[in-house]
Parts: sequence; structure tokens; C-alpha cells
Amino acid sequence: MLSNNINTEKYNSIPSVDNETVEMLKQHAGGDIEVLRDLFASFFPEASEQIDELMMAAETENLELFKRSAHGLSGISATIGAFQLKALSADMENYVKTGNTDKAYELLKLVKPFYEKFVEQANEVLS
Amino acid sequence: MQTKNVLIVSDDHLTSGFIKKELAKLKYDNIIITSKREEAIEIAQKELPSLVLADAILENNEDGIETAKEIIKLNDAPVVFITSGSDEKAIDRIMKIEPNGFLLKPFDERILKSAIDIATYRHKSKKELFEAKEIFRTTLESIDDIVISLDSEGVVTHVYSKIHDDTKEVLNFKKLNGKKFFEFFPGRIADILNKGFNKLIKTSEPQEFEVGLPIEKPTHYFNIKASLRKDHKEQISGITVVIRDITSKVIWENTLRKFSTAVEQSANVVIIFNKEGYVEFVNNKYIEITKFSYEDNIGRKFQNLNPVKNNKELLEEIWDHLIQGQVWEGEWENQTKDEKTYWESVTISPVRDEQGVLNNFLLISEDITQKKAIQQELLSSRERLEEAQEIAGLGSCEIRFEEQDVKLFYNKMFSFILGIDHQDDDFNEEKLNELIHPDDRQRYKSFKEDVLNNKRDKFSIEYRIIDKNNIFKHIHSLGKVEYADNGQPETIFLTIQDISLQKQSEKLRQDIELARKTADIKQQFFANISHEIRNPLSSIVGLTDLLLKSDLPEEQEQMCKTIMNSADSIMNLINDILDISRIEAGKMKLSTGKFSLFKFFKKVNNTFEPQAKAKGLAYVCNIPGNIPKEIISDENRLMQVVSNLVTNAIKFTNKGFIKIEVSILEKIAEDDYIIKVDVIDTGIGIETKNIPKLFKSFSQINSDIVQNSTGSGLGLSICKHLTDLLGGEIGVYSIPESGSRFWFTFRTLLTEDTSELKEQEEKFDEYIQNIDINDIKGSSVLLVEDKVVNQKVVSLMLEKLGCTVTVAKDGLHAIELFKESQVNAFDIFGKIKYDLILMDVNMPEKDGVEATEYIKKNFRNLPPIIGLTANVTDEDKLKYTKIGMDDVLSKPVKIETLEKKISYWLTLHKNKSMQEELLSIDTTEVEKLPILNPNTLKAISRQTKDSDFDLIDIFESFISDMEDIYNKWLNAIEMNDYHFLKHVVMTVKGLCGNIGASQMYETARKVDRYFKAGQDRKAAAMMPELAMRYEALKQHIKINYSKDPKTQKQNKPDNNKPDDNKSEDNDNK
Repeated sequence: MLSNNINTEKYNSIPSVDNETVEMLKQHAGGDIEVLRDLFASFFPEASEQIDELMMAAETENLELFKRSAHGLSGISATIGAFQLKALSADMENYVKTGNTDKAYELLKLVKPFYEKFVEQANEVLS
Repeated sequence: MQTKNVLIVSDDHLTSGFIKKELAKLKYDNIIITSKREEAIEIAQKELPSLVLADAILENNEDGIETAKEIIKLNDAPVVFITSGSDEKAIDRIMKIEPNGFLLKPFDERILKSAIDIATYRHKSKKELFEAKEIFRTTLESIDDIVISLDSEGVVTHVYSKIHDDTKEVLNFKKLNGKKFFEFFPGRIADILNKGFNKLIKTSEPQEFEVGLPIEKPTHYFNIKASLRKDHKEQISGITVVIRDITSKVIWENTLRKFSTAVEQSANVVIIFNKEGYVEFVNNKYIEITKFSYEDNIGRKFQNLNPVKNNKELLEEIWDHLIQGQVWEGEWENQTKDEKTYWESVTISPVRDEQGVLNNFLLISEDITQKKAIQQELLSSRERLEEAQEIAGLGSCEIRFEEQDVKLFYNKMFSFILGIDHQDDDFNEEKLNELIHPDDRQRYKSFKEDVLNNKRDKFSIEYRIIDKNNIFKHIHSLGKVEYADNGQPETIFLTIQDISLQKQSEKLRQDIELARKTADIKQQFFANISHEIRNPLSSIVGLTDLLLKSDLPEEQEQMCKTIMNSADSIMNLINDILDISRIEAGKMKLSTGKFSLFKFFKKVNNTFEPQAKAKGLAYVCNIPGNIPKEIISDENRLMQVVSNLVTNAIKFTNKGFIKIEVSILEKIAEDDYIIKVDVIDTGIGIETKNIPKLFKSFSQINSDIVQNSTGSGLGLSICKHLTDLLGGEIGVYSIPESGSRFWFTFRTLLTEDTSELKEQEEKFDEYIQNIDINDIKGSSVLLVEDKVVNQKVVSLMLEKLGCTVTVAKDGLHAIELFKESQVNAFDIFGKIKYDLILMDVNMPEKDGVEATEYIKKNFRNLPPIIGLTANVTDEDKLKYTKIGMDDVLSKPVKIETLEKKISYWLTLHKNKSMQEELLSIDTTEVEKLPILNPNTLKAISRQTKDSDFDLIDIFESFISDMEDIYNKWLNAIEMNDYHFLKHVVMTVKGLCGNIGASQMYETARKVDRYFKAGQDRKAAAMMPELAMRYEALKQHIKINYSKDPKTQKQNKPDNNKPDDNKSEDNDNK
């Protein structure tokens, strides 16, 4: 489905959940798993919202919104350690910035699977 | 009705009777006839007859003419002579007494009647003429005018003048009598008069002239009026000229005119107002300046003029002066009609009339706006000069040689340098000379003598002084002499500059140069000996290796292994020492080239995997596929860092695993990556409190660490330097007893185009070195972030760092919160509530850029604003710093970076305000403090009352501590080691605080503040002052608190105690 000129391979080498970040967050939370859960609980709805926004932006070809949503998603993903999602959204942002809208739209298709993968793995970590 | 008495004096009865009869017909009722002289006179006296008829000859030959003469004298009535007309002589005599009429005998009743009528008429006319003459005479006598009558030819016929006939005054018009009138006047005036007279004759209209006669000084002025005189036949009979001397009037008018012109055209404002304050006059200048018209002002009250209108006090002051008849002088700021302000110098004087009654007030003012501006300019340029001199540390002084006296005038810097009180009026030349160092005094004196003896007029001299505070200083003086007309020196202009620091730094420069040379030699030396050591060491290693490969008894094999290990240790140690000496000498350079990361880590694995396995540890190295195959960096140095970390990991791990993870942290551009290497172990871990010390540079290394680890202990410090050089960072997470994760980053391509940021980074690093982590504890941070996740995570980090966090959900909310903080803060605390703002860049409802711009634009004294954003590039950073953010942090935010950045910006920010505070430091304040604070002494005495030691012991231990520090500090000054000095000052501050050494404490505090404000040089320059305070304190303690033999006995057994106490004390600090 994806065009050949985009290297989606590279995302495979990036962890969906970055353990180090999670470890760090745990440290910040003073080792309290509940606090950690709360952090993730804040992430999920916000990430969903950004993703919805991205989809909408793509549909309406609102590049400004697309850029902003991608940037937002990249920011919170980085914070929570969703590195695959982070790399993906950063790339989408950069593509739009550099005028490669098509490539960005191609990548958009990966967002949901990546997100779902993250939710799955994160839940494992939190359990 | 008046009775008509008639007296007839005649001896001719017939005639008398006839007359009587006829007169009775004419209604004369009382007709008395006499022929006797005596009787006639008597009747005339008694009856006052209204008509007298007299005969020339009387009875007994009495003389009727004489009788009539007497009657005329006694009684004013017409007299008619009756005569026969025969005697010519008698008629002559009668004419002489001017009778009113004649009756020639014989006459009839008609002749009688007409004679009486004519006589009565004549008598009346004569009387009237006389009366008129008298009026004329008395009129002339009562006026100052000169009346001149000219005949029709212009010849003067009469001159009526009060001036006496024979007066010799030039203006004696009486001289004119009989002369032509015009001759009296000079030609030009004569012409005017002639023309005027012609006109007069032609038109009969009176003419008037005003002429000035320059015949006498001052010029006399006359008003001349000429009227035509006509006779009864309307023929011109002459001209009457009335001359009035108007000299004084003209002069007065001229004077008045001059005055009025002067006032009108005056460059000064003139206002006249009356006792009630009503303005009666203003001149043009006033109108010109104030733009108020004449009408605006007249009738206005002085009390309502601009400057006094709203200044009751001033008005009262002025009015008090004026009504007491005093002049008020002053300056005020006035306002024109169009509300422009200007300054006036004003004098208001009361004006009295001739009787001395106060009627008016005269206000004269001058516009001094420009003068004032010039004055102000002068004043401020003088201030600026003072300021400039102060900044330049330039003291200036004028030595003026006045009669009998030498006076000094000097600026503040002068007194500061000499340590004298600027207000000290007693400071004189003699005292100035006393401050000069005794060894230089003679030189200074002979120098001054040269000046005074005109041998030189400019000079430049260096000498030493011991200022009033007993501080030794090197001074450089420049001077210039000005001579009076008599060739004697009048003034010496003298500047002084404290060049102690230059002198000191001159010495320091030499010392540093020496130190640098020494470091070079040291490095060379190390290079040489390491070479020399490495050669034999190689032999040892090689041979031992051979030995090990040979078949050895176990005991010997073990020995050989030990030799091998020891040799390795020495080798490592030497390499470390070499590196550090290279770093110290600034000679550590990268040597970059292309190499393969895979091969690189293969090497790493080849070296360390066996070592790990030998220790029973698992060894993993993860290199992801997306790692660039070839990179540009310094392979050897990179290897050094990795080796160091892995060696440590193996060294401190006894079970579990060693894991190396390689990842791309950031792709900056094609072939430009930041690569991260993690070295993870399951070893003993590191106590959190020790982590910050791990990477400190060599000089800061805590001896504990060095002592507790085998090897040089320099490894991590070297790594820190190397990662810096490699364009990366180094750090560690560790959980004691569980393991450590050391990580470092490096850049694969080093470019030069981010120099601007680099500069800031360098500055940043420099600050980081000096930051006390506690600085950020208790700081209040405004976190502006729309994403809840980020809010929570960053809040957690901030809280962990000891900050309090307020979260704003977007830019608008942030502005609101910030506004509130400003209002509250100023009301309650007088300072801004948020110490720092962390601002996400991308947000709905005003993004971070807009919010920052808004805050920067609308508020003052802002806390630092640090932007937060993902995917940040150098361009982005520049962009955000340009719009006013102080710094930018990239997401995900790391706690270490966050801590460093916050510390950096808070310190920088605090320093800003501290620098402002520093400007207001007054050195003389310290002098006012006691050397030792009596309250602290009391407190100490109270505390030590029941213990085994006393105040003296405490002072002793203080001095011993201080002596130790003092020596180190002198050394640090020589080496320019500000870092160590900072440490010294803080320690000194603590020690002094404990014993209440107020002066020294205060000075140390000041130095500390300079250091904290980043003003290292200034701080260092104050070290001599601190030393001076210490000497003074030591002296004070020596005199007041030394152990005399009596107290010694008491203290002796406890000699060790104070030392115990001392060490406790130190621990507390």
C-alpha cells in the first residue's frame, strides 16, 4: 500500500515503548505506579484527539492544522516514551513543512497501528 | 435807590442858584452849595457827592482848582469845572487835574445837562479803563507766561514778564523792546515764526508753536502763541505773543517717553499691579512670551497668574514680602497661554508714591529657561564627569595656593581612593602628604618642589600610599600646574588612580606566564617520562605474557598475573595523567576521520566481552540497523570514552550483565547525527548524592572518590572533557545496589555554523560549573502547556527539583496568571511571583510565541522564559530567542537538562538584580559596624557558660582555621583561581558569621555577591580589603582575647576541646 520511496523500515527499529523513558518517568513518579498510570491515562485521550485531528486535517487538506497536530502528537509521544509514534509524527510534520504533503499523508496511515501497538505495550508495562 | 448828592463849589451865587434849580429838575435831590474851600472839602468827605461842580476861583480868592484836586482825592465822583474861560493859565491848571468836564459861562440848561452827562460818562469810562488795566496787570503778574505785544510791523512794543527788568538772563525777553521780534530767534525758528505770523495775518486764526532754543544748556523749550490784535476799526493793529517756558514739561515728557519705550521694548517682562493685585500694566515682552494679550491681563489679578495660582505658599511668601515693603526675588516655572512651561528669574518690588504710600508693585522677570538648561547641562555634565571618573576610578583634586593658605578641592573618587571621609573639611595638604608611603615621601616632596619652583608644569608620578584605612595602595598621579600672572603656581590639577590591581596583575601576569610555561614543561615532562615508563613497561608486559604462556607452577603463574595487572594499572594511570595534563594545558585536540561504527563496536566487543565473561557477566551490545555505517568523529577518543565506561561497568559489577546500547538521538541533517551510547550494568550503583561529583573536572574532584576507587579516578572527568569535545553530553542514572546506566552522546559531524548558539552554550556551561543546585529549590515556575501529559510529566520533574509549579493550559491562561501574579506580587511582596516561565511553543488560544511577545511587551522585570518544543532545530532556537524567549528546551524534556537550564537562568536572573544591588553598595557602611558584634559574643558566652571551653578557645580555633584558609587564598589570588576564591569567600563568610565578626563578614558577603553576580574581577579586587579586615580582626582578637598566664591555667586541660569543636563546626558548614 505504501509507495516505495518512503522508508517505513526505519520505524521498525524504533521501540514502540521506550523503556528508558518509562523508567525515568517511574523515577520522577517516585516509583509510584499509580502516578505512572495517571500519566499514561492523560496521554491516551490526548493522543487520540491529536490523531483525530490529524485525520480531519488530512481530509480537509488543512495543512496548518495537520502540522500543528503532528507536532503536538510528536511532543506528547516523546514525553511518554512512545518513540515510534514520536518519530512518525515528527516525520509527518517535517514532510508537510518541506512541502512533501503526499509523503506525510502516506505516513498518516501508520499512525493508528502505531498508536494501538503502543497502547497494547504500555498496558503491559503498567500492569 | 441811591441818593444823588451834588456838591457845587462856587462863589457865584447866581450861577449856583441856576444850576441848583436845573439839577432839581434832573432829579438830584440833595444839592449842596458852598463857596468856601474848607466847607467844600468837609462836605465832600461827609456826603460823598456823586457829582461835583467846581468854580476855579472861590471866595476870599481861594483856589478852586486846588480845592477840586483835594475833593477828587477824597471822593470818586465826576468833577465839572465852571469857568469863564478868560484865564488861559487857569485852564492849563484845570487840565492837569484831568476834570471830567467844563462849563463855560454863560451856559444854559442844555449845556449844563450835556456837560454833566459827558462828565459822568467820562468818569465812568476812566474808571472802567483803569479797572481793565488793573485786571490786565494783575493777570500778567499772576502768570508765568511772557506776553509780548508787537506792532503791525513786528516790532516789540511791550514785554510783560515777571522777570525783572535788569536781569541778565539770556532769556530776558525785555531786551526785545523796540526790536524786531524775530531777531531774537535763530534763523530756522525765525522762519517758522515768520511763516506762522504770515498765516496769522492772513487768516486771523491764532497760531501756536513749540520751539526749542538751544541758546542755553539745557535746551529751553517754549510754547509760543500768537494772536492778531485789531483796533476798533477791525484794522490790524499788532500781534500779541504769549510765550510759555515748557522746558521742564518737555524734559519730563522726554524722560517719560524714554522710560516707557524702555519698558515697552525691554527684554524683560514688566508687570505693574496694584495693592489689590489687579494688573495695571504689562509690557510687550510679557505678551510675547506668555501669548496672553494685553486685554487678557489688564484687570487680571496677580494672584491668578500662572506661577502663583496654585501655589498658596509661594503666593503668601511673596505677598508677605511686598506688603512689608520688601523686594521679593526668586525663580519660578511659568506657563504660557498654550501651556508651554518656561523658567523665570523674578524680582517684585513695591513702588511708593511721593508721599511714601505703597500703591503699586513692579514685577520684572527674565526668561531663564535656556540659562537653566545650560546650568542643568553643566550640572549633569559635571555629574557625568564625576560618574565617568568614578567608573574610571579616577580621583581628581585641585590644590589651590591662596595667600597664606593651600586649599584642596577633590571629587568623591579621590576621597575613596585615599580612604578619607568626603565630607571631611579638615583634610588638607599636610594630611595628604602624610598618607604617602614614608619611602616615597621624599621623592614626592622633591617632585612637588620642582613644580613649585617652576621646573615643570606637567608631571606623571607613581608612588605608594597607605590610605586612611591602612590599606597599602599603588597610586599613579598625573598633574598639571597653572601659574598666576606673577609666575607663581596658582593651582595644581592632580589626578590619582589606584593602580594596585594593575601592579598586582602585572605580577600575576608574570606568574601566570610562569605557570603556563611550567604547565607546558610539566606536560612535556609527562610525555617524556610516560614514554620512558611505557618502554620498560612494555617489556614487563611482553615478558610477563611470555612467562604466562610458559608452563609455570600455579603459584608463579598467579604472581605473573599480578604483575600483569599491576603493569596494566600503571599503563592506565599514565595514560590518564597524560590526558589530564593535556587537558590542563589546553592541548587536548580531536583528530577526526571517517570510520565505521559497526567495526568500532566490534572492537569494543572484542576487548570487553572476554573481560565480562571472565567475571561471569553477560555481555550484550545492541546496534540498531538504522545507525549510519560511516561517521566522522575521533575514533580514538570515542574509544577512550566507551572503554572507560565499559571498564567501570565491569569493574563495579559482580553479577548480572553489561549492556551497550547504541541509538540515534537526533538527526540534524543528512550525515549529521547525534548518537547516543548507553552502558548499562547491574552493578553496585552510585548514591544519588555522589552523581553530580562524578564528572566534575579534575581540580574539583572530591578526594573521597579518588580514594575510594582504584585507578586514577580521573577517567570520568576525562570522559566529560572528551564528550564536550565530541559535541555531546555525558550522564548517568543509577540505583544503588541495582545498577547504573551511563550514557553519552556525540555528534557525527561537527559544523561551525551554530557558533552563536555555541557561544551561549559555552556561557551556559561556564555558569553551570558554578551553580549551587540548591539555587533552584523553592523557585516558582509557571508551566504553560496545553497537553495534560506534558503538564504532568514536567510538573513531576519540577517538583522533584524542588520547584513549585503553576500550570497554565494555554497562552491566554498564562497571560492571565502572569497578570495576576504581577498585581499581587507588587501589593504584597514587592517582587515577581514567578521565578521562571516554561512556555510550550505550540498551543491553541495564543501559542507560546504570541504569549511571550505579549508578556515581553506589557510587563517589566520579567522572569526568564524558556520555550518548550519538540523537533527543535538551531534555526527554531534562534527564531524563538529572537521573539524574546531566553532559551529553548527540546521535548522530551530531560530532568538533567531542565535542572541545568533552570539553574542557569535563575542564576543569571538573580545576578541581574544582584548587580543592580551591587551598584548601591556603600563601602563606608562596613566601617560603621563593630569588628566583633557584642550580641553574638554574648550569645556565644551564654552557650559556652557550662562547657569546657570559652570565647578565647573559639577565637583561637577561628584564627587557626583562618590562617590555613588565608595561605590558600593568597595562593589562589596569585593563580587567578577565582573558583577557589569563591569557595574561600563562602567559607570565610561562614566562619565570620559564627563569631560575629561583623566587618569581615559584611566584606566577605559583598565579595560573595560580586562572585555570584559573575563579576569575578571586581570580587577579586576586593580580596585585599577582606585581607585588611582579617588583619584588623586578628589584631583586635589578639589585644582583647588572648590568653594571659592567669587564664591559661584554667584553659590548659581542655586544649583539645576547641579543636574537637572546630571540626564539628566545619562539618556543619
